[in-house]
Amino acid sequence: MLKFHNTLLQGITKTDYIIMTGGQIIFIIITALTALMAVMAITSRSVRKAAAYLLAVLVVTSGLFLILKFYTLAVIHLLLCAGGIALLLLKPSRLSKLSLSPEKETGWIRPALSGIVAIAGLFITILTLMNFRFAPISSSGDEFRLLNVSKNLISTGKNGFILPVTIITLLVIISIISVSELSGRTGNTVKNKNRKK
Amino acid sequence: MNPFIPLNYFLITAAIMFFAGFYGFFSRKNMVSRLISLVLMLNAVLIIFAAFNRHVSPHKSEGILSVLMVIAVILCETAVAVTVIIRLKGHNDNPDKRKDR
Repeated sequence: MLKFHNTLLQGITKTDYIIMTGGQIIFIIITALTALMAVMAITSRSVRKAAAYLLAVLVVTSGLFLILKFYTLAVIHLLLCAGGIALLLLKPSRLSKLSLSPEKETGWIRPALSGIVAIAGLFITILTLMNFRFAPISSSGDEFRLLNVSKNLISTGKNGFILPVTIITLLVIISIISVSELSGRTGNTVKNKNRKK
Repeated sequence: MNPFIPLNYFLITAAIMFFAGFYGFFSRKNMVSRLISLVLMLNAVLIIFAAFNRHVSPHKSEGILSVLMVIAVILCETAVAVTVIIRLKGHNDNPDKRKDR
């Protein structure tokens, strides 16, 4: 445990201490890393570096899920989200096809306006969140289990999620078909060029 | 469930990530940078869903199910976007196809 002096924060003259547990220290480190990596990902000019910073953000987000005690979700996020995006964006053959050259300089009005809007929105959001207290809605019920999640995914009852799951399944099928169609055409044109040669 | 870290701190973390993605999406012109910003914003939504599920209704699983669905959406969107970007790049680099336009 670490002890931090809190007299300046509280405005109290006597010595007061905030006792921080290990979990809180890890949370602060993860939050700082998340914010830093997110800012680096959007300010980096090189696509390769931006993708690497994005991967770092996704890995650190899995750490946040671990702090929330969603262990399975952290593993799923790490494997699917971080792994999939790393495979898609960081694969060297794809990166060579994507724009590797530094981005062209844009005007200052658009970045300035979006920066002002983003900072104002962040300020308002933080101000609202600091003055609002969320109360728990349900304190009773079945204990959280992955089996319940699996049952809810395919059930049509009160907590059933069969309709969103169907929509997501359709979305996945459509994206698979569209990606294979787009990639397949590229392969066919290459084959046709080879035949002509 | 997690009394030492209040819900608001998770939401502030998600807000920082979301507005970083917002700034990147509207300030950059590169398609890949915009895609990265979009993934950042969706990632912030994941944190919000998970934190609300843990703190507000810990005995229910709606937040987890929503997170799983958003992960599926992120993957589909990234796969389609990368394929389209590669196709567009190939189309723009090919001088024969540019003359046809």
